[in-house]
Amino acid sequence: MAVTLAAGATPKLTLNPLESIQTMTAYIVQVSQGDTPAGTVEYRTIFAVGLTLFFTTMLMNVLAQWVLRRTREKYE
Amino acid sequence: MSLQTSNRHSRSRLLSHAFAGICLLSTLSCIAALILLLWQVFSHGIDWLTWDFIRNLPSRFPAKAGIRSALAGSLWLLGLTTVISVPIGIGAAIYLEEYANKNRWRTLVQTNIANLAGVPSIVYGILGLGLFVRFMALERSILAGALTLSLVVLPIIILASQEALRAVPPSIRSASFALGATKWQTVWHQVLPASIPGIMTGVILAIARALGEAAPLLAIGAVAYIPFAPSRLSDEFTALPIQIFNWSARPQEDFHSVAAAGIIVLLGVLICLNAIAVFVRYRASKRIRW
Amino acid sequence: MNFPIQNEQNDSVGVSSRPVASMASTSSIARSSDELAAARSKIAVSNLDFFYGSHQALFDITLKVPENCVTALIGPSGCGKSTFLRCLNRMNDMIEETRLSGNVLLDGEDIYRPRTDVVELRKRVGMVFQKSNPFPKTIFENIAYGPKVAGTRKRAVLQEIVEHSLKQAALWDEVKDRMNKSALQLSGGQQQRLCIARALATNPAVLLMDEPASALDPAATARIEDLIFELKENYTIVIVTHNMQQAARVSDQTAFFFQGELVEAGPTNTLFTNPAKPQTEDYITGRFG
Repeated sequence: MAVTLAAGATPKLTLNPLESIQTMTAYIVQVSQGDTPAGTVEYRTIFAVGLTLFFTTMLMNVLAQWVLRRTREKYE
Repeated sequence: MSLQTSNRHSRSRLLSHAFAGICLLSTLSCIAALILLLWQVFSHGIDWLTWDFIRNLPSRFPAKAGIRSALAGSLWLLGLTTVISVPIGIGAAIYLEEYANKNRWRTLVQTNIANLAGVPSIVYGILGLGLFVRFMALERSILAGALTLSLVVLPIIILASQEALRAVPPSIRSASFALGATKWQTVWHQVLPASIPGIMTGVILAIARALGEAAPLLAIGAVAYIPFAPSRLSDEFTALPIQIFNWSARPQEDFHSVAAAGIIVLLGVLICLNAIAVFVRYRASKRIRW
Repeated sequence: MNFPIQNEQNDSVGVSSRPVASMASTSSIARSSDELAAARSKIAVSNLDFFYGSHQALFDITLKVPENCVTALIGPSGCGKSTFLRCLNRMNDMIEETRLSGNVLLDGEDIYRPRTDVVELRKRVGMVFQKSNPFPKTIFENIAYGPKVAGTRKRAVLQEIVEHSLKQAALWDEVKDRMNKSALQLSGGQQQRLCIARALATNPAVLLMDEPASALDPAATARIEDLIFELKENYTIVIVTHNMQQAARVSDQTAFFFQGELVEAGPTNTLFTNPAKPQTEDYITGRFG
């Protein structure tokens, strides 16, 4: 969330780290703040974005735990 | 073997110094960033931090803007979230540590909790939006906000409590069982009291995190402009981070200073919470030493 | 070959005549084999097999524990003596995936019979662990815990039990002025005697001790051993020990375990001076283990 303040809220695709972009988190906030009625396409997209976010982090967590398990064995 | 410094030795000593230097530099840059941040916030905000600022409701005019409704909202959320998440979190931790058999099911649950603890809070916001706000029709109430924040902190509380329970030596459990205590008596009279300091520390840190969360509350539709201090569970609410976010997003320069004053208030509350955590830990470490 | 042990055994009189427990001298003399044979068996174990998962830890153990005697279990590390001890109050139930067959009779009752009240059993069969493990509470709370969980609520009764137990454990005089201080402030030897007092507070008939003195210095060890002499008047004691001299000093009956089997059991005197099996002789003379 804090990133929104720094990174801006401009939804565009760029590889340039100096340009303003929009994060997934910021998108969800933007849409849900807009008071979209339930059932509209916009309302549904935030769930899709949330799901993407969820699976991305889950993948990273699983990966981290796997690394942790593998390296921890060496000490015991 | 001569004790005189060989070339090789002096090089390795140099390397060792260099490494220590790099580590020191890392630490210093963290501290520098923190000091810079604090300086920035305080230099902007301290003049705006008046008694009126604490007492006033939000306003279109920076000079009249106050943080009362946000502070009240945050304290409401703080209390409710604690009441909701702590019993469930500790209960879950006790079940997983003391009762559950170490089978695949437990591993699955454990992995999931660890995952959930790392999920961005906005995801809980969406869940709260779908589940509490819409499905349970709680609207944008304090209760919906507190339930959503409870979801955010539950995995953290469970993990911290589990850690604290695990730190209680197994020999304490054996001793209790050997005296004819039941599982329930052992957990209630020995394991839980011995782990309370650790659990408390974890809980307070988790709650402190909840206090700083804006994203999940924004996702469930909390807005910054609430011209009254909430008094009922069904009232609409705002919270410190939302208010600060809102102010700092405004174009007027003065509102940025108001935001800085708000940050000082938020920091104050957080420091109080952390101080309690440190105090609890200190008290416990004096009393219990394995 | 076993002279050193013989010497140690003679020395036991010296140990128990220490001023701290002078009253022990009358009871310190080991029971004779006749007395042992005449004693009622408090615990009778027959054909006991024990498994951790698929690993068998005990093989067909049959042993009688005579009442009001000290039975020592000796043997090298991992021989199953501690496992056997924990079978006697079902502490092994705590460990997942353990299995057991055979009988363990306490006063003629099978403690592994399906509807046994394990809580009740553990009140009758107390246990003292290798490492002293006082609760992080006051001295009073430590001792009173057993009676409390058993339902005793009256403060006066609890106070009486606490005092009596501490006296039995020869700790009362040292701690009577600081009953409300943390038990963790006591010295190692005191903590272990506290644990013994705690076990006595539930008024058990049998006391199981798992190397109770292995973490203590010689003086504290001597005090624990004196205590064992005194306690056997009222309790049946089973003690696991690494230390053969200790077994020789304190016990009336000794059982030698090796690789999960009970090699030999008999009156301590006989076992140490005239072992029947060569393995026993090798072990007690220090050839292995």
